[in-house]
Amino acid sequence: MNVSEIWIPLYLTAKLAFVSTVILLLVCIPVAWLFARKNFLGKPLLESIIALPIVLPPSVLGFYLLVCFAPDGPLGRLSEAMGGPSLVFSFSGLVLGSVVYSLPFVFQPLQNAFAEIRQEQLDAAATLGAGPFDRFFTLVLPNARPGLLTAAVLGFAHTVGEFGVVLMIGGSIPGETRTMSIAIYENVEALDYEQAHLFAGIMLVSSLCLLSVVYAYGRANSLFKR
Amino acid sequence: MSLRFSVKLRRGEFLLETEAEIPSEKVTGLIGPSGSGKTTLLRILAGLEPEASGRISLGKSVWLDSAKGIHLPAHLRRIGYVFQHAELFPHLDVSQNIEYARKRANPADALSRAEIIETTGIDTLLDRHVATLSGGERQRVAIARALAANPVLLLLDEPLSALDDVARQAMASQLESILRAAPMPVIHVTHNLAEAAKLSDHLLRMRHGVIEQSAPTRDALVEASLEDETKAGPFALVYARVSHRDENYQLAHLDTEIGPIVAPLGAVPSSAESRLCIYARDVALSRVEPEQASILNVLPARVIQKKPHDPSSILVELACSKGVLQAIVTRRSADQLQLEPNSSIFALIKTVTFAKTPFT
Repeated sequence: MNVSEIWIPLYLTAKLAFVSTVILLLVCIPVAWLFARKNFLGKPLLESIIALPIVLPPSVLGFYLLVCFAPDGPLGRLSEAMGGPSLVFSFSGLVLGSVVYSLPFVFQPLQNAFAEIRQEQLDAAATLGAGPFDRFFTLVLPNARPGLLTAAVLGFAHTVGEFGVVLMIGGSIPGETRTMSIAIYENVEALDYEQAHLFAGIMLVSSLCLLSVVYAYGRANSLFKR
Repeated sequence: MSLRFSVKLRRGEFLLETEAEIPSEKVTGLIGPSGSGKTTLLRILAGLEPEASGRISLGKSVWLDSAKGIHLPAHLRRIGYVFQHAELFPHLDVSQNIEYARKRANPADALSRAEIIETTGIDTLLDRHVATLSGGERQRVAIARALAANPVLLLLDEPLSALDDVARQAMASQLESILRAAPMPVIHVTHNLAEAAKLSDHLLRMRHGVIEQSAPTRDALVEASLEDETKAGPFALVYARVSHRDENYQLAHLDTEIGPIVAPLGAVPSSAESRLCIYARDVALSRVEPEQASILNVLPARVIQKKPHDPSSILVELACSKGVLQAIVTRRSADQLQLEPNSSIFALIKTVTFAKTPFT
């Protein structure tokens, strides 16, 4: 067996999860802050839309994304008009799909963490001369650190485990859209259990390692705070 | 220079609409029952209530003027605020909390870090994590942090209210020293009249969202003396100066308006000038000067007038040297002692009661 046969889908999966998580954090941090602090018309509806990927079957989500991303779909046409890449069967499309698919898993921990920061704490910082951005970076983000970590880990792990959506909008192009979960599925389809075992084992061990690091970090943090 | 405000804020059923002008060089007490709008007023002054309208100015600087569209946000007003629950930042230790304020402070005429630590007595706490502090320690750090921001006005919102009795006793005289040493004007909220009397030079009385009285503490107390706003009942406010500290017996000898008084050292702040709240229930009366009694404070007095207090007792107002004292005695004792206006009498104040007053 060729080393690149393992390496390419593994690298692709990690890259997809990493890029999606970074985009999700950048988008969700300001929006979740707004949602945590302000009430406005239509907020419950928007919250429901953000939470939809939790309850929708991935195939349903994948189907709608496929319709949107297709060259004659709304987002497909927009991307083409702006000189962007094709959104179906491409890495860019996969990133966009993952962002939608993992959105609630990043958004909700952030919103909860931000909501826990009491207004009086922000008031105290304001009376000490800290302006809104100053307060956000020196008070809100440090105190929301456990929530940030949870959001990042959930977003990353959820994207790594993505299967239905990838299958619908990505297909299985090696190096482009053939992630670990697709590779395992294909190996099983082809009755290549040996390779499926190897891939699944790598996923199992790496997921366990990631979670252990996170839990160890969380424990060290909470011990420090006692 | 004075602090002037005329502000309005509606929140549901509650309407705060009031105005006042207070001398800004002094400690002002803001007093009133729970729900009268004391905290809301402080928050409006600090700029923490964006919906408030009206006008607020300190000297020449205008913080709020709705008519001209001026609404300076809190972080630009430079008003120190000590919250009921301290609101220290949990991700920073004590020293870093102080530095957070100092980094953003106007450096001109700021107290040095050493001065702040000395005044508030937090030198042993600097490396501690805020979650490990006791209630009293937390409030001292909160005051230190507010001072470190070098504010033009310091607001304290019942800093003792979240403390248990023991911590409150310990913190009370410290707070007096801190406020006297604060280089900026102070407004101090409390629902305890005795606490306000002891700490402030000027009093604002608030009720139902309106300031009903703004007067020097002394004048405000004359009208307030019969109102039972403290659990311990009526009291006399006595200005005192420490003349001698007896380390052996841990007693302070004080020269006061009502004559020489002895009080426990722990009840007297470190500053030379001090005030005592002497509760009427802690003053006993005697026709003869007691000898060989355990009571250390025996003061010759003259009865000014008697007022009914409750069905079994009366409140006796006494002229005592150059000051005024009050005593609650039973009606029976009053009859036996034949207390009438102008009768000469001895007022007995048990020394240890000072340790418990005024923060009951």
